[in-house]
Amino acid sequence: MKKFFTNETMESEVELGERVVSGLNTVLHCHHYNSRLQKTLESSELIQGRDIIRKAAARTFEKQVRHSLHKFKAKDTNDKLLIASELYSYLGFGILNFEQVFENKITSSCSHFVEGWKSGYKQENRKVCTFVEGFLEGALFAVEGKHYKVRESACMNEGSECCIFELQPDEPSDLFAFDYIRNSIAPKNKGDLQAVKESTISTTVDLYAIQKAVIEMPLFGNNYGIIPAFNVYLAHMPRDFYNLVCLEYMDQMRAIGMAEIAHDFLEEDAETCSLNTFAGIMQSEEWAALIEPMIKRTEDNLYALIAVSNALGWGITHIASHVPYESLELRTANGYESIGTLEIKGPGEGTDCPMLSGVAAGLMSLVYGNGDFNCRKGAYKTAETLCISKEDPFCAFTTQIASVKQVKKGA
Amino acid sequence: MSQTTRVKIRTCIRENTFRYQIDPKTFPLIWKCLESRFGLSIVFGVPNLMQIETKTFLLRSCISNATITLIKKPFCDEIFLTEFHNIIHFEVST
Repeated sequence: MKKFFTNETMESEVELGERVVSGLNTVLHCHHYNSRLQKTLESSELIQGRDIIRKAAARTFEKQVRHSLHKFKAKDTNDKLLIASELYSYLGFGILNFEQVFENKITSSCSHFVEGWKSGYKQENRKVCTFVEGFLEGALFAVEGKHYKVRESACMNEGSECCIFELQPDEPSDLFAFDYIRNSIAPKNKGDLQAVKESTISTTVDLYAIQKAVIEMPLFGNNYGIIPAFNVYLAHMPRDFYNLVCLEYMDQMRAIGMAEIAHDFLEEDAETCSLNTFAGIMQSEEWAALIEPMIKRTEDNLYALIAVSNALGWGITHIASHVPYESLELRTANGYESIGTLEIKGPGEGTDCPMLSGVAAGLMSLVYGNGDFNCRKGAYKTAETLCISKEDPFCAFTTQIASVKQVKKGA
Repeated sequence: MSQTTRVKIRTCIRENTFRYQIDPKTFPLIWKCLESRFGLSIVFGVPNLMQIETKTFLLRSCISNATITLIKKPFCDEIFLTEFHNIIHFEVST
């Protein structure tokens, strides 16, 4: 039984598709995407992938835990640690046990990330909880005001019964000093919502009903701190974490002349995830109960999938044009990647939404692609033509066939 | 009464996840049996969607379709699977 976090803790706004927990806008992604993104960063020896993830998690969750302590009027250290632990489970990351914290040890008996690595890849004998190390460093600073270095010494991914994290006092740093976050239920930096709405094409699928139903689903960590829904494990991640991770990754790759490749990698992660995750979603009981009765034509699946994605906190995406099997044009005025880029780095000159670009290509491949899912990657390609991060009124994406062989023949 | 059938579904949660198709006429009774054995179900978000959760598995059902998806958790064992299959009248082909 949770003491602090309840179903009502999350504030949501159906029109904008925003979800806010303890002061931070959160987005839902599945364990597949989270572990894939981690693998992309940590696989390269040319950059500090683990460090990027750890620092982004520490900075993000220091703020979210601090906000939670204030919100729930934490009285003592036990209360504070319980709040940090409940937040972690509520968001869907698993279970944290602080009973041995005064012996400089924290354990975890259930983990979103371990599940991701176990289900997404061939078994690798390695520790995979970099994100949790960062979460704990941030949470402990919020609780005690002290810097700790947290490292995983045993991991369930390697066959350990539980994950074990060792704490060491660390030198003070300015990691938590920079406060750029301006989250709110309705981000100030959103683009021109009206213009996006006016360009939307009509459909017989009740997009709003789907979006509202999904946003109101009880998608919070269960007794094991995880969120099994739509045939995936979901987790609420503050959007700032993804933005810090992806922007720092892009910066480090740019510094070695590999910005374009980095962008492609991020896009590919999202495309793969989009194909797999949304395929699972379409075979779920949730889909059968809520959405299937509305599906009359093949393209209705695409509209419905976009309505589901609009409830995940990614930003509201509207379909500006669509030719079944051929092309898709999407627009969004509050995509989290572009807003985050604008908030953290200020206006730029490029387009900055590889996740949404990859998702758009993946959705087209899923609905219209041919053959096994694993062979559909690359069937469609997305170009982002406008982006809020370069002060365009909205982000615009055009997805078109890239490989005719991988697409079914249209009706 | 028609025999319960199952299809393997694509899921990122566990390999070998199946959706069981129950005879709609017997479904209400079967669901009651599952509830009395494994605990009461809850409505999961939308009225048509029910869920029974235990330490080792999760049953999610679209009531109007008379389907049940069994999502296994770690430590979900053969003893449970056999009992579940008996309740829903499913025979594993050998």
